[in-house]
Amino acid sequence: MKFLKILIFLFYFSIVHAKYHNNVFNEELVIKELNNNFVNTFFQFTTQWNYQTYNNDLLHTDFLSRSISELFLHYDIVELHITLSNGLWKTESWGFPIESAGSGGELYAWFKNHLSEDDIKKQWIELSEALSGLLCASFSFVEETNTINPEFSFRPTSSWNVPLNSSFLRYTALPREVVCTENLTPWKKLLPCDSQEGFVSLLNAQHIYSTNYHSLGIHVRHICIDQTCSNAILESKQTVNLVHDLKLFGGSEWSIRKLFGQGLNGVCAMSSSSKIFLDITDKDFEISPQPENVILSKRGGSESRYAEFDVRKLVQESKMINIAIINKKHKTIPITRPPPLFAKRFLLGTGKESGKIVNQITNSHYASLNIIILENIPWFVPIYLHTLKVKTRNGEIKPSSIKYIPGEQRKRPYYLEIALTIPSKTIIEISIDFDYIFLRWQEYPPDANHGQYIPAAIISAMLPMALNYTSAPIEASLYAESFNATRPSYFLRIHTEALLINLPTPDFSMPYNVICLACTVVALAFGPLHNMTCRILVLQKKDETKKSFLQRLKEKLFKKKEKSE
Amino acid sequence: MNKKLLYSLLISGAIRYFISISKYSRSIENHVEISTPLNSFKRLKEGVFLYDNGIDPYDGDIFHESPFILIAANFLLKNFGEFISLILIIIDLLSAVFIYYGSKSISKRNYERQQLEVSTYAKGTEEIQFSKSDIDNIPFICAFAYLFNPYSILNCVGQTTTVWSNFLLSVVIYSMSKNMKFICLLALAFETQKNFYPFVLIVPIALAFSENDKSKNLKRIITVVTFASIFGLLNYIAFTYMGNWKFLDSTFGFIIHCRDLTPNIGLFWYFFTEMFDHFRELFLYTFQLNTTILYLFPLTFTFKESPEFLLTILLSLVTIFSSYPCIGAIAFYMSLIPLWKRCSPFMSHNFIVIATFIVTSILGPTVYHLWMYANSANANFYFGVTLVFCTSQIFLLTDLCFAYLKRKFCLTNGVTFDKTMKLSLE
Amino acid sequence: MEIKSILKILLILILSPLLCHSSEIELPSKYVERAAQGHTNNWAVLVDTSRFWFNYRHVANVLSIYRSVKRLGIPDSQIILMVAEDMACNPRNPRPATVFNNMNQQINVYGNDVEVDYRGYEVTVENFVRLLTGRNHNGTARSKKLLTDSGSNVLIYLTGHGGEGFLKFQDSEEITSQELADAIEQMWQKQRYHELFFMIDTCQAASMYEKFYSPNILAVASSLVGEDSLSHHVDPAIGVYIIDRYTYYALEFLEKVEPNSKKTMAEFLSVCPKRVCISTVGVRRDLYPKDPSSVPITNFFGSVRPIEMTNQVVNISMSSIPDEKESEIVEKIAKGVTYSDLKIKFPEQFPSNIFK
Repeated sequence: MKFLKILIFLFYFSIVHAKYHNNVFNEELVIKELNNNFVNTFFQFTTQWNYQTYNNDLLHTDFLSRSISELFLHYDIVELHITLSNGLWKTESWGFPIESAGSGGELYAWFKNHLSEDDIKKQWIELSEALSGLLCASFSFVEETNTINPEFSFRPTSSWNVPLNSSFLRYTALPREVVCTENLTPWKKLLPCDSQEGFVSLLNAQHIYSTNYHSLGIHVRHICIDQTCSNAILESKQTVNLVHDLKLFGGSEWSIRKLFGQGLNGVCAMSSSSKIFLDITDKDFEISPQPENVILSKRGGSESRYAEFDVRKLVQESKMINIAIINKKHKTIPITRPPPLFAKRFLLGTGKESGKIVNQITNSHYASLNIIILENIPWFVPIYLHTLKVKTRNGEIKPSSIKYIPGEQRKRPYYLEIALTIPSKTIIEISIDFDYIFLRWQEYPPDANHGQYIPAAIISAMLPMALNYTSAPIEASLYAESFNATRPSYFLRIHTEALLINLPTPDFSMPYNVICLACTVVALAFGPLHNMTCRILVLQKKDETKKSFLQRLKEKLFKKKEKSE
Repeated sequence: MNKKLLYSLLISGAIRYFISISKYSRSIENHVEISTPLNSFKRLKEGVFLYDNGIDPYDGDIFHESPFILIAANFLLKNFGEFISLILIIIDLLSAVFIYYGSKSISKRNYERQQLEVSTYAKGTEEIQFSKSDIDNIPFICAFAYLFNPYSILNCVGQTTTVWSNFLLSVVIYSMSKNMKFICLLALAFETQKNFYPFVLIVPIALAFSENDKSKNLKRIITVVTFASIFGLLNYIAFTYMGNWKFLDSTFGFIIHCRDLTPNIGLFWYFFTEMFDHFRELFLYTFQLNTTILYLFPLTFTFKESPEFLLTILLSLVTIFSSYPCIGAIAFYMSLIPLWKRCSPFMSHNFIVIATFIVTSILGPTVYHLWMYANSANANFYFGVTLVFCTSQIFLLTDLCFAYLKRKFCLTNGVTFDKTMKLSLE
Repeated sequence: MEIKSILKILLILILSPLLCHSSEIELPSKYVERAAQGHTNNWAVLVDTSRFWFNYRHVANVLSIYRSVKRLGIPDSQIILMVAEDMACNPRNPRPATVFNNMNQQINVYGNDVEVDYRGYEVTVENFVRLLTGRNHNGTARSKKLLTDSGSNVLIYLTGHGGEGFLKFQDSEEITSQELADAIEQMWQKQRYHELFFMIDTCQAASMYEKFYSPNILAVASSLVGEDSLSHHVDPAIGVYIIDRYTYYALEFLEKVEPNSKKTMAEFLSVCPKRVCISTVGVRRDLYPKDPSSVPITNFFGSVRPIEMTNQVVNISMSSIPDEKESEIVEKIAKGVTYSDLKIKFPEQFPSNIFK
């Protein structure tokens, strides 16, 4: 039966392959030097697929991986975002990331509006189970206990025919998740090209996982073309965001071969464009080979220059492509200007009784900024809303709006969203008290003394200018569309650090002892009370044969002596 | 009001006030021995804050007080927020006053009862009989025991809602002794709504109210039914006020299922932390039965001639074995023990009990600090101390019961008997 | 739920012969015959039960076997890999994304193409027993299920810390030999394997297979009851033992095996004699009806891929696939038209209205 299946599949494939013109695939690589000898590389693989929603078209995929389109078919989702990251993006010195991600795994999805609350609940759990299998990640731990539906921080990025409110959104974060080759392998398999072809060939596990920050992303959304949404585009962006530490390569000069262990051996045959953009704004170095085109991007008051390499053309010249930075001049020392908004997150307090979660947010911009902070705090960290304080140096700020759903043990997390305005050039401190609680011994993870993670807070803001801002606008499918994309304002989302708290632990080896001891104490009450309620007091003759303890002991000892003699 | 009491009130009030304005009040407030999830001021404030902001406080995991406490606290915190500690001190002092007058009429009644039977008493038992002066002495000792007990002082400074409980319980005792039936049942219903366990006190109260009646059983049934209906009505009022029944699970469910395993001075927390999941329910219900109705009927039959003594014993039992005990509740039942001053000659474990109380009260916070802050001890240390503390309370309780029975025996059989004879249970 | 699903399975079992008859595709008779005698597919369940960095060697063990079975042809979809700790990307690993079998970095057993099905906290006794017996939760991903049948040869490899009659999972729970034997019996009752090769590398490993009572099991253990299984050597670069002796030599042996090799199971069972292993390798063959020296090693470590060549024309109708027109929009997009050119509207990303 199997061989027949293979035959059918081959036939099928050959026929379907003929209609790949419903698909566009693009590869992009953005390289940017960061301060302090770091290099940021950002890969984006975009697949756009025009399909008809009325027939079961989602099952007949070409470029887009069928595993992804099946998710959309089975779980009725409109859009899906997954990131798997490790390391910390240092916004303060590196500027804003092209795409921000919380540490560990982060997953959120918008469901279709015809689903009921219970359906969404079920579909969400099944979706995460499916993703855990698909990406070898522990998304099987996604439950009601760590899922929220944030009201303000997230809006659909799809162009869907019906507006979706937050009740169709599910968001979760698994800050403990490790990311390694086992995640990269299935991630690569979702791309139309083999892992040896095109930009993907640069993604070697050994080089990716020795970086300071790495993040894998999958973002899939729907774009409706007509009113009824019967004709739609399913757009999938697969991204990799890396920060390489140049100190590891011995010096400040670098090349693609140094960063990834090998040069670029060509392009993906399916791609309609394969481009590398190298940020050369205010940089004094030479590039080899010389870029044929330099893009000047004016966006929201800032100007940046990008060297553009069309790899499709370069491939014709040489087999192996390597872009190198040479003759770096150290004449100028860049003055780092921090981005307009950045945040730090830390814990305060000693001991394991109660503490304080603090988010310190800096607005270095000359105007006030509206921001929204989203906290997703696990059920085992009870927070006290009345202790929420937003402090500046000059006093307290009253938030414009607060959305809070208290958590419940073993049921749901604490969800808190605060909307507030930070005055210009101000550092604010948002603090909230929490208690450390004691769990049942079987609820602690095997490495209980490692501690438990609190997911990152998410800060969303609308920036009036694009200084340090590198994300593509919402309507862009390619990164290239962010050049010269001046808008009235720029939507920014950044993640803070995740926190690690050390809950007090019981002694895991004690259950039997504790059960016995506590029951003994209960019995201490039961015995006498039972005696005195069921019996009556009487005067009795003292039992003469009963001797005192000492006497008996003496007798025993002496007897033994006698015996031994 | 006599002068001694007045001075005691003033002095203990001043002690409470000065501690509460000192820098130690914050840390006292957060101590696990004083604040439990059920009575802590911090959680009360959170509940009020949520309620004020339109979030149902019973929806979350923080707030477990009864809706009436919520309403009262909402009113007080809003209007007298700065004076809250003063208000609590006054309530605590009032409790002492009620204890004073309650125990006064109880002593009086005890004396009257004794006068009816005194003809049957053996000779030479004057030492263990209630004397006339006891009617003045005992109430003062009781009130003094409440006012100057470090446990009740710390409880008051910690601003826990146990201050309210103690007030309600003192009203229960006062009105019971004065035969003010409705107030007594109402106060008990409020207290049951808050702490659940005190519902067992309806038995001694029913006994007390039916004492001089002809149709005793009918009277008792009427009392219990009245209590049940008042309690039901209160819950219904709370329901209409809150708009849903969630508070039932958040208060009674929370107490019965012992959902919060934060360390406290009771037996539940570590036991249910270490319990295997498949046995959890079994032990939970066994423990709750042990706390409430396991001893209720045997004790009732044994001590039915003195409802006040039964009340003392039941109250201490539910305090010791409740799922979230705190020292404030312990202070309350301890203040009732002097009522049975005449039993004291028969109490044999006094030294052990007092010594362990002192030692564990010092050792408890110490090992807790070592565990939570210094990281040099673990949960077992604290568990050990709480275990010993509970044991000493149980010793106190059983010792008191034995002493009561022995005294009763000796009153009729005389205090002196043959050296070869021994009092024992048969 | 349980009863329902059991009923469903029963229904399917009853109906399946009927369904098979009614289906149009008849399997070639030769193929069916061969399936009846031998196995038709291969599966591997590879489990590392140890967490923490100092148990690096257990991860190296399990990945060694993973590498071998994958190299010998079992596809990733038929390998269930359970690894309790991330060693490759552990911050303490000086060579990220690698796990080596020896200090000279001979073989990167982790490889560049690895799929871990259960990892970290997911490696629990419950999940392991659910996996074997097929009683997965609703909605479990396909790659996390052991979809074997009566024609499957299954390789089960376990490594971790064990004692007499138990194997620890992540230092917090354990599976006993009786539980394991019962799970395997359940597999047999449910026709979830044809033959089973059970390998275990842990202290007192032989105690884990002693309780087996189901047929067609060949079992090998790195040490007898009362013996410790020892590790091979320390890698000073990572500071911990890098691999266990038994698995080290088993990998050495398997590296020499090719997919078309004629090596037999008997040869594999004699891997790691006492002078190199220090512990005695225990073998249990009383449940296994065949002579291991006549069973090729690829019966368990390789994969069968029955392919039948045919010269006849196979008729397959393709009517179900819709004919589609070329998409104009995609053509436009390929030429550089953006969504904003197409006048597609997107929702506002920031709720500015909540700020007064």
